Amino acid sequence: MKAVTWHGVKDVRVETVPDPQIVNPHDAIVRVTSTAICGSDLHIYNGYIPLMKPGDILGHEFMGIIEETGPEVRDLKPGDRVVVPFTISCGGCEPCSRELWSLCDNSNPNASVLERLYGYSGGGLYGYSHLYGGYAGGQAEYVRVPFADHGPIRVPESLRDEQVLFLSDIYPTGYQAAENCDIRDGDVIAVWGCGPVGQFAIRSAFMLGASRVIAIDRIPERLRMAQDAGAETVHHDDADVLEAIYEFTGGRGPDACIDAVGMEAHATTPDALADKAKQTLRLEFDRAHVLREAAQAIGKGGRLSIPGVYAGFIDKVPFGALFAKGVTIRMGQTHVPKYLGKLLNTISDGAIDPSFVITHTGTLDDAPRLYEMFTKKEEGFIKSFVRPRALQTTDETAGIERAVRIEAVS
Amino acid sequence: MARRSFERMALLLGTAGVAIVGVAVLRRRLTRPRAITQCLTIRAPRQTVNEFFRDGDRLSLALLGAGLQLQDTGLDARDDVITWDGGGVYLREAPGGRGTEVRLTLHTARKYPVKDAIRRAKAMLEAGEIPNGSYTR
Repeated sequence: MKAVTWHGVKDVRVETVPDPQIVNPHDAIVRVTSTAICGSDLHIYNGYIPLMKPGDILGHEFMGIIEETGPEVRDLKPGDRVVVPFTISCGGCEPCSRELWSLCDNSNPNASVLERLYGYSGGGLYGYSHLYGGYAGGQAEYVRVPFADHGPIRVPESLRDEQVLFLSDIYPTGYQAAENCDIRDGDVIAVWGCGPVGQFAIRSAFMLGASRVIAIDRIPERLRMAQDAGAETVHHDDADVLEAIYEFTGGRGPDACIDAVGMEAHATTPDALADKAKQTLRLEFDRAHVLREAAQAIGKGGRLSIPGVYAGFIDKVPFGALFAKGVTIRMGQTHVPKYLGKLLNTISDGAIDPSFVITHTGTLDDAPRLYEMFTKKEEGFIKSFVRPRALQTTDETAGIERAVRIEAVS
Repeated sequence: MARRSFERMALLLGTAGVAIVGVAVLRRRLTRPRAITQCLTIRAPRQTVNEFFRDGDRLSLALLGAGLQLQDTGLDARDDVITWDGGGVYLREAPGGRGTEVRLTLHTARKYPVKDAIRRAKAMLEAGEIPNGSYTR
């Protein structure tokens, strides 16, 4: 089969690799109909996630058709159309029983490695290094899905792939970020980062009752998309962010802040430049500029929600400010299955069409270029929607062997 | 002159002697069997966990996968303690109905991945299989 594989920093390739097989009795094989590149894939692309091996298959946002199931799979059958959460959950451990699906005790075969780093390990993830189990990812024609009865959700034929694919990660991630803000009527929420997760966090914050959302980014297209959702925007590099936020909130500060940026914050302030230098020299894991800014901006008794990925040690975060203001911090990988039913209903009901976030489409063959465009934020790139070449039935039936060009969605 | 070369020789001999004794002591310490204990909580009743560890085949599967070997399958089992030659499992109910706390002790001369053995047993009991990141057999 064809798959997108990692070979080094900023080196991803499309290669022919062996087809996946049923390895364990609870496995299923999914024929991928759609996949996408996530912002957290860029952390791998840019070399900030350790324990990648050349040839590892990337991707954790995918959906498709069940092709085959193992002997112990009970709920799914070949032919079912499913969206697969990016987190792998066994369904039988204590965290899974408490709906803390991303913290599954049993799905990471390399848990001992992560335990040495973090004390405890989270669950396995698709296409996200051998720290998280070394599972092959979904930027491929086929994927092996372990513990298939726990996580994948059947989706109705009436909804297009473009509408439901993002249930695999960014929509639930944005929603959990907003839910972690414990929003009450009238609350003002500030969201740093208007990439795909930030966009869904903004819309979810409104769904959960926020009266105003302040969106902060440095890319005009992203700020425009945030405005489309009703957010008030601050251009990070053109304004004094703290002053703007104080102004927007009548001097109270936001009731909650969302850091939808994470470890690769871009800014031109002295602390951000120092972060960049330290990260380059591997003296620091993460660039924490957004955390510092949010810690300063957040109001008294505020809630700080962090869906942006952080990997290790960070410097000079004003913990005293968080302490002095009695801030509650909530973070972590998304417990995707917890939200799937509820969020699928919001799509079926027409409350949201997640395809709004797609700016570029292509095939697996286009993936190396799409990674490059995404990391450089070229041509208004916000989110890709990728079809495996095998599904280009129009081209195939016409007998035309050509890659579909990357297309910008107007 | 003769006195200085005698002192140098004595220093050399002394250093060599200390090094030899040091290596011997270190080697003895490293190869002396010692008890390694690791603990995990398994989300299953104590009786179920007890039966798992009394089953020589399943226990061997958990231990072997972690690079360990069951030396003697002649188990001496009680409700909360199962011992065998070179090791033992101690079971205690976890608070809040969260299953069974499992302490696995192995007397071994090398640093074995004892926790991985319990982890495999936990996966077999809770998830019905041992996780595997490979996508082909």
